[in-house]
Amino acid sequence: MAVLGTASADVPLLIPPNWASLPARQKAVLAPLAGEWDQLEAWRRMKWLEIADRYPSMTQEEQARVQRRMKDWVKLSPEERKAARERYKNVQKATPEQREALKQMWSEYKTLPEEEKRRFRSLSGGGTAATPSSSTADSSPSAPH
Amino acid sequence: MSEEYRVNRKICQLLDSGTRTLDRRIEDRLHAARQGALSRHQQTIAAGELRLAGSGGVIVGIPKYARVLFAAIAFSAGIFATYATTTYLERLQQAEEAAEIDSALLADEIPFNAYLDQDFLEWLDHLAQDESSQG
Repeated sequence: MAVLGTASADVPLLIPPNWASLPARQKAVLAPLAGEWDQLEAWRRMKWLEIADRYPSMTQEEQARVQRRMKDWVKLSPEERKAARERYKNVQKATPEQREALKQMWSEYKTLPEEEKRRFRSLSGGGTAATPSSSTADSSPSAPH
Repeated sequence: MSEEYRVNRKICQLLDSGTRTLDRRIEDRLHAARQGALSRHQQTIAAGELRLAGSGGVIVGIPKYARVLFAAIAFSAGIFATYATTTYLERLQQAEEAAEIDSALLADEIPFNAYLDQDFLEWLDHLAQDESSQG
């Protein structure tokens, strides 16, 4: 099992370590989580240690995105994380062209004025947008939370 | 009367006749040694004796209720250890799967906010409906 085979090289995973016990290399990767680390459940700490092990194989751009987003990610509710994963998995089934189109639409949507967004909200009979209230990563001033 | 019994009886007679010729001091020491052996034997039975044989345990001299209790505790510990190991392995598996998808999701060009923004998802639906009505 990869979790045992990789992260255990640095720290024993039977009891995931607290922040003070983490090696410097893992602390550097997981720095945005320093404040929350000791409160995270054991299996979530295992997951983040696994992500830290994958980190060196990412491009610099990807590494920056991961570090920028991880703090907001841990603040999501389990239901929100589950929903995001499911939708992400569905998007991965799409063609590269469709994924590129989605990326452009998100960029376009972020530039819409709030008034325009409210109009779509009222058209859909909503007004109870299920946006992650705590999330600020990758959001612009005009973008939703 | 069996042949075995006759032989045993003969041995006892020989031993009895032999002790009659023993020195008094030797006789006293033999008597003391016998009393000591008997006493130690009684103490051993009273304290109970636990012998472990192979991988299974053979418990001798312990009350039956204690043996049942011990077996129940051992059984429960086994069940708990199996449950704990299974749960731990499941957690590891979950952690590994979540790490795989979370690292990809967090590193992706499309931020996770997009997948959670209900307004954005409705806006996409609206655009899709517009396209289908025009096409």
